[in-house]
Formats: sequence, structure tokens, C-alpha cells
Amino acid sequence: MVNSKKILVAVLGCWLVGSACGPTFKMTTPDGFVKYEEGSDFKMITADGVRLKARQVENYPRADIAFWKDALARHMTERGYAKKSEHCFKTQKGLDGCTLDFLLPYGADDWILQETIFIEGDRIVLVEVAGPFQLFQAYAKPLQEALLSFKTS
Amino acid sequence: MLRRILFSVFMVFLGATQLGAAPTVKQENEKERVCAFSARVLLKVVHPVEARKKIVGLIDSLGGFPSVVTDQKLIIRVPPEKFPGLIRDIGQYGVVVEKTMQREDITEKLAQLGGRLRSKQDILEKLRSFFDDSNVKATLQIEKNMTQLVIELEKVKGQLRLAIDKARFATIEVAFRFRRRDRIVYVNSPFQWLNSVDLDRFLAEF
Repeated sequence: MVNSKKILVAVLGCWLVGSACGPTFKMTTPDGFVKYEEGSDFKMITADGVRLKARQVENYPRADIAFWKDALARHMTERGYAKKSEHCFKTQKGLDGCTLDFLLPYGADDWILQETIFIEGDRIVLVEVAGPFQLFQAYAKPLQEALLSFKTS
Repeated sequence: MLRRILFSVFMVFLGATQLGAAPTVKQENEKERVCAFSARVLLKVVHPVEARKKIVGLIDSLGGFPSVVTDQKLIIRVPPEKFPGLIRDIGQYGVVVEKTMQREDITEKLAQLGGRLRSKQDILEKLRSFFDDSNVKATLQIEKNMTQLVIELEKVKGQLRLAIDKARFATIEVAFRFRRRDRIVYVNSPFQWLNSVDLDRFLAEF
């Protein structure tokens, strides 16, 4: 009975603080980025405004990384984004990941929207990075290196 | 050996054309070949005019110059040693959609043109010497031959000038492809999470 109460309190607590009890993402902070320590979101930003955020979505219908990488590329291309590059890799923890860079005109500049997909069972983890193309280039390599250290818990 | 060939080519060329300053083709040792570098870059940009201005500004600082400037195209000439760096720098002003680079070895061509020029000049000199001892009919014939020879000489000089110019300055053609703005459209995907992948949403929720 006491255990049931404890569990109930824990569940309620988690529910009250929302995503604080959700999955946590870990990744080496790429050169030039700083991490937002406050709040529940996994977010980073550079001095010139290149932004990074991780989130997760449901892996439904359940499919592998090749399927979702293909679906994402097709969808974004249909929307008018230009696919610039694609790079698949394995993290240091052995997690398969694919990074796709999309270009789009935004305001007076070209912007990059970079989507990195990781599949973890019934969820898809997305690491999204966006910034003006010319600024983004300076961070492309540190980002790719940092993504190798990505893990969830 | 190559140095000698080039030296003689240049000397003959200079003597024939009275151009003044000798063309300087980089040649550090005898093994080095004389090459002409060229490249074509197709660049996707939002503002071709601004990209063009930036590139022209850049080549000024590198000792190069534009030879053709239009809204859609830019042909630039730069010293060969600046060529690889400039190709990289051009990529910063847009998205390189296509890039082709070419290196043409013109060592042999220069040697051949130099040889042809020299032989034709020798013949011309000989024909000149025949004037003194020739009658009217022969003089007319010599003049006719000399006229033809001068035409051929000018043609070879032109080819040689062109080849040397190609070696002195690398050529880069930059073609701009305009990226239209505001063409992102909403397309509903059967996969719900894909509909949430969007730059506007990302920036708004950050």
C-alpha cells in the first residue's frame, strides 16, 4: 500500500512537471555553441544565432531509419526545400543516425535546416539545427563531430 | 630543356611583336610544366547581383579581373596561384550546384608554336635577302610569298599570345542560378511528424 502511494506520488510529480521526467538527451556541446541549462528543452545556440534543438516523435508506423530518411527527404523536397546533403553515421554508442541538410530561401538569405534522425524503438529522436547558410558553414564540422556523441536516457 | 624552349619562344615572340614587357609564366624548375587552369561553377544564390559584386570585389584583391560581367554570368581571370583558393571562396557566396575544373598542359603547344614562329621568321629573312638580286618579276613573286608568310606569322603570333595568356591567368566562369523566394508550400504528409518539420515552426518554438 505504501509502495503504491509512492508510485502514485512519483507519477503525479512527473505529470505535474511535465517533460522533466521525459527522455533526456546528451551530446557534446559543439564548438561555438552554448547550452540552455534552464528549462526542459534540449537547446543550444551560437553567438550569431544558429540554433539547435532536440525533440522526439512517435515512430509510427514503426519503420527503420532508411524509411524515415527517405520519407523526410521526399516530403521536404515536395515542400520546396532543396536537399543539400545527406550523411549517415553511427554514434559512439552504436546508434544509427542520418543527417539531412535542406536549403531554403528565408528573408534575404538562404537558410539551412538540418535534420538528424535517430531511431530508438518506438520513438524517433530529431536533432534540428537552423541558421543562415553562410553562418552555418562554420559550424557544420563541429556539429557533425558532436552528433557522434549523441545519446538518450 | 623546357626553360630553353620557353625562353626561345618568348624571345622570338617578343622580337616579332615588340610587345614590351615579357609575359611571366611561373616556372620554378625545369620539371615544371606550363598549364592553363579553368573552371566552371554553377552557383545558386538568392541575389545574383550582390553575389556578383562580392566576387568581383574579391578578385580585385587577388590581382585578377573580370572579363565578362552579366546578370547571369561572370567570367573572371586570376593568377593561377590564386585559382584553388578562389574556387573555394566563391562557394561561400551561395550553393555550388555544379563545379568542373580543368588543367590543360600547354608546354608542348607553346614549344610547337615557338618553333613555327621561328621557322617562318627565318624564311621571311631569307626572302628579304633575295630582293637585292632579283628582277621585277621575281620581286613581285617574293612580295606575294612574303605577304602570305606575314599573314601566317600573325596567325601563329595570335595563337602564341592566346596560349601564354591562358597560362598567365586562370579562367573561372561563374554562372548564377537564381533561387526564387517564397516558394515553400504546405504539403500534408500522411506521416504526422513530418508535418511538424518546418523552419518557421522550429524558429517559433525555439
